Amino acid sequence: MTRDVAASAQAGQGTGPLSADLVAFVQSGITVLIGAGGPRGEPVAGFGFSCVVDETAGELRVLVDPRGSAPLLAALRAGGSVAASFTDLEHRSIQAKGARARIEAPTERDLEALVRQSRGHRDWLALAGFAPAFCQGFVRCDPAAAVVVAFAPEQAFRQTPGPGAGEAIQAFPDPLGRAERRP
Amino acid sequence: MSPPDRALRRPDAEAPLPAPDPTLWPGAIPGAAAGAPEPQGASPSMDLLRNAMEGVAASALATCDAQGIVNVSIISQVHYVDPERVALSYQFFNKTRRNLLSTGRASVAITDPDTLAQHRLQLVYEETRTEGPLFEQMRAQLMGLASHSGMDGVFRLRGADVFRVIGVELVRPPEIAPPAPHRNLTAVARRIFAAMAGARELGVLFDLTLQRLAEDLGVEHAMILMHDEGSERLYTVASRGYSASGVGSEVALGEGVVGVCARERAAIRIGHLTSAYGYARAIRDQAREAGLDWDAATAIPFPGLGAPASQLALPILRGERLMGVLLCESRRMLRFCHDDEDALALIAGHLGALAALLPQAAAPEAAAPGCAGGGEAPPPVAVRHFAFDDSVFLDNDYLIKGVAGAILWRLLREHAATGREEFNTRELRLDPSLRLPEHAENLDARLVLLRKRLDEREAPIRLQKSGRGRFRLCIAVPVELESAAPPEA
Repeated sequence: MTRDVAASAQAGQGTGPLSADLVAFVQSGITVLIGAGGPRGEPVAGFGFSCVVDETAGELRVLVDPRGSAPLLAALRAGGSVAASFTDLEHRSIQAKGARARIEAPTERDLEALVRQSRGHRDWLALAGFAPAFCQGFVRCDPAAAVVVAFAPEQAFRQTPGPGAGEAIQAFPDPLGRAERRP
Repeated sequence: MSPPDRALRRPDAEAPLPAPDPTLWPGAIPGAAAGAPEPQGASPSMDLLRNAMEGVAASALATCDAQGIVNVSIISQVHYVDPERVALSYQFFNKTRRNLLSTGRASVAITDPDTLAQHRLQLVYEETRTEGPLFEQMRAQLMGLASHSGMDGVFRLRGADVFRVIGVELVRPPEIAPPAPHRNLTAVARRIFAAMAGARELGVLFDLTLQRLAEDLGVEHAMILMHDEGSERLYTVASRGYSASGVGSEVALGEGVVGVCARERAAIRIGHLTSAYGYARAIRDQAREAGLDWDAATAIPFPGLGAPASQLALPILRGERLMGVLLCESRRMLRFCHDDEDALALIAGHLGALAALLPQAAAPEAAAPGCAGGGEAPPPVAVRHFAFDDSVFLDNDYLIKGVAGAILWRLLREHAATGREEFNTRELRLDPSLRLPEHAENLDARLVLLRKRLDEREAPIRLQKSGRGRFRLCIAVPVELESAAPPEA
C-alpha cells in the first residue's frame, strides 16, 4: 500500500478512465497480462512485465518480451484490439482496453520501471510462497530485447472476483474492492 | 464406466465447430519459424504440459467478442482433461463467459512452476459440464485454491468449460532444470504390483499395499475403504500412519473427498488444505450436532489427518463397479502431482483386481493356533445385539454394526447353541438372515473388518483364518448373549 501511495503522488490526476489511484496500482509491480484480438477475431493471451503510464500521451505502456510473442505482436501490428490486466496477490484486479496499440522500443523510463516493478513483483511472489528461483525467473525480461505495447485506455473494468466484477470502473467508487477485502 | 457428465452445449451445438485454421497460429510449433503452418498432429500432447496445470502459477486467459474486442483476465484453474483437451473453471457470468458463448475461442498462457516454461494454448470451446467426474475434480481443486488464497466463499465452480486444444505454442523455453525425481514411478508401481501378488488373504493384501505405499512411494498416511452397496457407504478396512486405525469408520457416498471420489468413480486430488473436503468434523460430531445420540454412540471416528494439506482419493474399481476407495494424504501442500495420481491409480486398479480374485485364490493355510484360554476362569463378557442396525456391544463398549455385526451375532448364537467353532464363508454367503449384498467379495472385506475390530479392541472373542474359505471363532471367556431392545428415539 505504501508503494501505491508513493506512485499515486507521482501519478497526478489519472489517465483516461484510470484514476490516480489506479494509475499507481498498475505501476506497482504486480502481475501484468496482455491480450490482443487477431485479424480474424482470434484472441491471443500473453504476459507483460511492467507498465508505465504516460500521462502526457494518455497511454499505458506495457513492456513485453517479443520472444514467443510473435502472434500477439502480429495481431496488434495488424490493428487488433488490445487489453491489459493488472492483478495483485490479493486478487484485486482491473483491466484496461484500447482499440489499437503501437509496438515500439522501450524508453529509459520504461526500462527503469521494469527494474523497479520486477523487483516488487518478485518480492510479492516470494511473500506468496513461491520458490526463489521461480520468483526471480518469472519476472525476468531481457531489457535489450523487450518491446513496449503502447495504447490509450478507452475503457477500464473492475476484475476483482466478486460482486461488480466486469463492470466499468466508473460505476465503482472503490474499483479495486479494497473496502471489501480483509485488511 | 463413469456416469455421464451432464453437459450444457453451445446454443449452436448442432452446427459443427469452425475448423481450426493453422495459419492463424504462426509459430505454433516450438522452434518453428513464425508463419510456418502447423503440421498435422505435431502439437505436443497436453500430457507433457500437465505440470503447468496444477494451479500453482496463475494463467492468462484471452477471449474476443463478436466484434473482435479482446478481453484478458487472470485464471486460477486450467485443468488437464486428456491429451487433446483442457477445461477452464466457469465461476462468474462475466465478459469472458459471454465471449466464449459467442465465439467459442480462447487463448490461454500457462507457466510450469518448476521450469518456468510457458506455453500458449489455442482453444475451441466444446461444452460445459455442471456435474460428473470432471466437474467434481475441478471443484475440489478450486476449493483448495480458494482456501489457500483467502478466497473462500468467493470462488465457486458453476461449470467446467471443456475446450479442444487446436494449437500449442512455446512462449518461453524452460529456464530452470526441473527438480530431480525422487523415484521412477513406473518402476515403483511395478515393484508394488509384484509385492501385492504375494498376498494370499484380503486383509494381508490391504495392509501390504499400504505398507508398500509408505516404503516405496513415501505415502505415509493412507487408508482403504470398501463400498457397501446396500447402505451406499464406505467403511474403513485398513489404514496406516494415523493415531488411530479407524477401522470400521464409515463415510457416506458424496461426503468429503472419499465420498465424492466414490460417487463419481473418479480420482479427486486436492493440493491445499480446505475445509470443504475435510473430515475435521468426525461423523461422531456430526451425529451429535444432529441430535442422533445413537449414531454418535456407534460411530467410529474417521482416522484421516485433521488438517491434510494434500489429499488424493482413487476409486478401486472392478470393471465398472465400485469396490472401494484408496485415500492418500499428506501434511505437505501439492504433495500429489499428476504423475503420482497416475501411479496410484494403477495401484488402486490392481488392488481392485486382486481383491476380487483373492477369495477364490486363497491357498490353504496351516491350522490356526488354538484359541487362547486356560488358567483362571476369566470374567464373562456380555454381548448385546441391537437387531434394528445389527450393532454389537461388548459389555458397554460399541464394537461393530451392519453386516459385520450381523455376522458376529450369527456366529456367536450358533456357538452358544451347538458349541461349534469352525465356520466357512460359503455358509455365510448362503445365509439369508445376514442380508449380504449381492457381490460375494463384500463378505470377505466384512470379515477382514470384523477380525481387525476384534483384534484392535483386544476382545476376548477373535476370528482366525483356518484354511481356504474357513475361519475359527475363538472365545477366551464365557459369553452372555443379549438381544437388546432398540434405543428410544
